[in-house]
This record gives sequence, structure tokens and C-alpha cells, in this order.
Amino acid sequence: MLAAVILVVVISMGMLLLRAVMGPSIFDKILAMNCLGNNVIVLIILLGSLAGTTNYVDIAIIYSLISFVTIIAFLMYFKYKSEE
Amino acid sequence: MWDSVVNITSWAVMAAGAFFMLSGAVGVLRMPGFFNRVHPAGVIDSCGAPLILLGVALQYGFSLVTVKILLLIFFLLITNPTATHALCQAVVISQAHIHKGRKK
Repeated sequence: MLAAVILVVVISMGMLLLRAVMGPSIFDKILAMNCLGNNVIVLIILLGSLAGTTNYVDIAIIYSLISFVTIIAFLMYFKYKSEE
Repeated sequence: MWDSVVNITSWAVMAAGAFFMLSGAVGVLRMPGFFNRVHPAGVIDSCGAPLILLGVALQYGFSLVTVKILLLIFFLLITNPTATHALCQAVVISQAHIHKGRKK
């Protein structure tokens, strides 16, 4: 049953990667990478639960903090840069 | 009996979270236009991931890991709408949504 949920999360990551590659503008790619980061957090905790250990939740918390700061830093740069 | 009820609830919540995750991913791939794609992305961030994490947290009962996962869910529910708002404001300010010429 955990394997079914992990498979669904991996399929969702594949679709988001497709949108990140073929998005017409830079903001589509930023949106897809943000959701990909959230899927990675879910996958870390699910794989840790499958292996039977509970030490992976700390890694997920730290990764979510870093991902939030990264996405805000990217948007601060692209906000004042025109497309031309 | 109580263990069986918690177990079944945990699997049901995880199945619902997996369904929302899949529907959000299909939406981001297939919607035409940028602002139409932001909405399924919000479904993934605020409805799919917290439900799956809640299902995992229910599996562990009353322990430290459950408190940590609930802290992570609380942080996700606060920072993901903030990032989505900043993204939409960046698109409006940089005027990247105005098409010049043929619309893709």
C-alpha cells in the first residue's frame, strides 16, 4: 500500500518535470520546480517510513525551509527583470 | 479494535492525498495559460501533500515523530500560499503574461 502511494508521487513528479521542460516562460518553470520540491519532501518521508526508520523527518523539515528561501530568492530576482 | 480503526483511517487519508496529488499534476500539465496552471499547483501544495503526511503521521501513534510531522504540515500550509502569491505578483510586475504576436 505504501508502494502504491510512492508510485503515484513519482508519476506526479514526472508530469511536473515535463511541465518544467516545456513551459513557454520562466515562471512556468519556477512554478513546476516549487511543486517538485514539495513532492520531494513527501517522498523523503514515505521512503523513510518504508525503510522502518524515523530519522528522515528532520531532513524533510530542513529541506522545506531551504526550498522556501530559494523560491523567494529566485522570484526577487525575476520580478524586476523584463522579458526582452 | 482501536488500532484497526486508526490503521484504516490512515490508509484512507493517504489514498485521498494520492488522488489529489495526481489530479494536481495532470492539471499543471494540461491547463492552457499560466494563471490557469497556478490553481492545480495550489491543490498539490495545500491539499495533496498535507493529506499524505497526515496519513503517515497517524501510522505512528502518540510519539515524537507525529509532532514533527504536524510541525512540517503547519509550515507547509503557511509558506506555500506565500510563495504562490509572490510568484503571481512577480508575473504581473514583470508583465510576462502579455503576449506579443502569436499566442502559444
